[in-house]
Amino acid sequence: MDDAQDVQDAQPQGAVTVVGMEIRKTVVREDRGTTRRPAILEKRPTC
Amino acid sequence: MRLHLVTMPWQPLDLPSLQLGLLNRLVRRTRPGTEVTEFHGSLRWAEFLLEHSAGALRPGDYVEVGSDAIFHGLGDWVFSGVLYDDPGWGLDRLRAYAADRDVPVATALAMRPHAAAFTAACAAEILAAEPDVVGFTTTFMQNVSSLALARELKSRRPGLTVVLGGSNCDGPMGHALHRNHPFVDHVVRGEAEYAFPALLRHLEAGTAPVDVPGLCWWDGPVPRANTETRRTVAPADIPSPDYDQWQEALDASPVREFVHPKLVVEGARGCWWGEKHHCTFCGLNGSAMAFRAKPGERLWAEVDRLVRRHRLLDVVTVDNILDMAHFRDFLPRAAASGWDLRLHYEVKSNLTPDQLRLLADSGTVHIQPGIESLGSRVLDLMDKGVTAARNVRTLRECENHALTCSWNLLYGFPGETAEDYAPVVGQLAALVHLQPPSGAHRIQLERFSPHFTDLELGFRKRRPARMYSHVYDLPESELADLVYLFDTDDAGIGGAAEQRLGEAVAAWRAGHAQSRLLFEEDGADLLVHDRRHGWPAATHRFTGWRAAALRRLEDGRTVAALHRLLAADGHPVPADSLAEWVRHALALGLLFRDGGTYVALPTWGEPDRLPDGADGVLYHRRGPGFVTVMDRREPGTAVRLTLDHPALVAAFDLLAEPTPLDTLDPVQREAVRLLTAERLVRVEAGRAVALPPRIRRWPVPCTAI
Repeated sequence: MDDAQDVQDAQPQGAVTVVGMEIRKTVVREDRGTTRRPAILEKRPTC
Repeated sequence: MRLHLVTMPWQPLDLPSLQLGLLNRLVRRTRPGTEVTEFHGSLRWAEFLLEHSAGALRPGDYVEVGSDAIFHGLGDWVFSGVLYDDPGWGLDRLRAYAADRDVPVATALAMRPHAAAFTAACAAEILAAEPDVVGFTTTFMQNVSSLALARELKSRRPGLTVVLGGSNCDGPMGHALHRNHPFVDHVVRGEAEYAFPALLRHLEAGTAPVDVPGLCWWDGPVPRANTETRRTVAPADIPSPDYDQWQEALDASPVREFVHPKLVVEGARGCWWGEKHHCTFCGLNGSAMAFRAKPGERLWAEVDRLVRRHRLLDVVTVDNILDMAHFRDFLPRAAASGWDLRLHYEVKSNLTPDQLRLLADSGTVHIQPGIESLGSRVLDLMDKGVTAARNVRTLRECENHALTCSWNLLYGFPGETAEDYAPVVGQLAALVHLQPPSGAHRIQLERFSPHFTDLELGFRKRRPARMYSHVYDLPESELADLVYLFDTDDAGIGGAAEQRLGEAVAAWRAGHAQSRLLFEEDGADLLVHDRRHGWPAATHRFTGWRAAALRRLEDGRTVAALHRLLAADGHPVPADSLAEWVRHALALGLLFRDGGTYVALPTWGEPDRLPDGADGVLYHRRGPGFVTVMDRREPGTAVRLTLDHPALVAAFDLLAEPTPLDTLDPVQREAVRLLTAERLVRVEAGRAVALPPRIRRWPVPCTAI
């Protein structure tokens, strides 16, 4: 089922566009090493 | 005055520069007329590599060279060819080093041809803004990229003032950086909060900065180094960082598609333990060991401000040790916020189970507790102030509270012997269900550490670490002042003992993911389900005083103390029976023995473990007035969504329960349309429901999802 189409079909007259209402979206490409490494800064190999 | 503040590679790409954030705020507060511009050279370098390699050199490669290879100097080497105007400079020495140590250098080799053009582009962009002063922050592997750009800037505009500061400039390192690089006008040594504004005042007045403590400056052709002060910056004078320009730079950068940005906060400087007992191997605090912490109320106000402003819930603290007062005045505020924070902390390893629970409740998901060793004599040698039994208890409690725990097992301490390690190595197989160390590592000699400053501790011979020979074109006598790491003759264990330790740690790491050792209460009985790698699958039932004894040993006790406690609990047990039972439990691998102290090893609750790279995940987190969603349903991508319009957040909340569409008002329907387009809401049979569940407990490791 196409959810968006379903909503559109079911949508009553009178739906409004709300200024500023948007979803901010970033598509992050899962690149090795950048996204899932530990967040604590490496200060030495021995710590 | 126009001031440029610069952070060059290899600043981590997912974090703002705390140093720039602090100095930006400080200068704007103390000098309202000064125009401050940040230059995020680290982001620019990652962008430059992406563009000029047609996507072949990606942010993952940046991490490989700039973070993973930090102790081989690869990132510095990439820019040495620019600094010394010779694209082939140091190449033979690097190849020899890499061959001897089996270090992969192909990525660094591929990056170096881009470094000169990048440095030139940076210089052109900065000079186009006509700054009066350019200030660089340099920590760990930021020296050479900063020096290369500084040299380029001065060659293009000799009248420009170039200033270096940061951890790499502390003490004699700053003096050596200055006197060996005439294109660096000033080096601020030590904390900059007082010295940097004082220097700017001198620059504006055209006066010699003779009274700025610690500052290095040129008196004609003569390098001067003012005496360093012992005065440290008061917590009230440490600014709250401003990350607006970083956010702007990141938002405009293609690098944003490769990172999950996090906030960086500073709750404390120095080390309260180090003030009394300086761990013998640690040089991290440089010349400013004095511990100072921001009041928890103020720290929370900073976190509150940054989280609201940047809509980010991941917060990394840079504190070298957690202030114990923050258990009273900061962490409870974080816990009470109701936000789904992910905090990352360095802590001392002798925290109590209650303190670890509060950390978990506050949103802390990742700690680095400085465990270092599981042998009490070795811990004594390093003046760590904790026992092996406490360390094992901490590892177990991390499991109980789903705290990801980063730690290393260190060896090579002068005075340690194979006998110190034999009983530890023999017990590591019993710990396989607890989070393993990243590896077993021989300690390095760090400037500012007691091992460095006190020859009597055993490291009498030292020379600048070999990696610096492919980084700097300077004589060893100058490197001895400029660098942080030194090579020494090996101390402590070696040979077969070192090999056994390494093999045992490797086995621990290999067997951890599929290992469990779980408590379960069954009425008055206590069950222990043993599903550890390398152990026969079994369920042990403990009844009566034996169940009570195992619970009492969660805190770590001697047999004599356990005997007294059991008697007080109404379990009068013959001493020889108790001793025999302890030997039995030890043989089953249910206890860890540290001298005369025994610690129970089973944990409570099935651990949440996911392999790194787990896909198919969808969840949401709550912040103040906003919701973030992580959507990893499509393999290979992670979609990060932020909902911060009040009507949108309200609709998302409403749809936590299936809701008939015909009960929604027009604004709610518009929200449903937006959410459905992102597949965050499912509509069926006239009802809509939000799909991402709220995540309340993170897996170990926390970065897996």
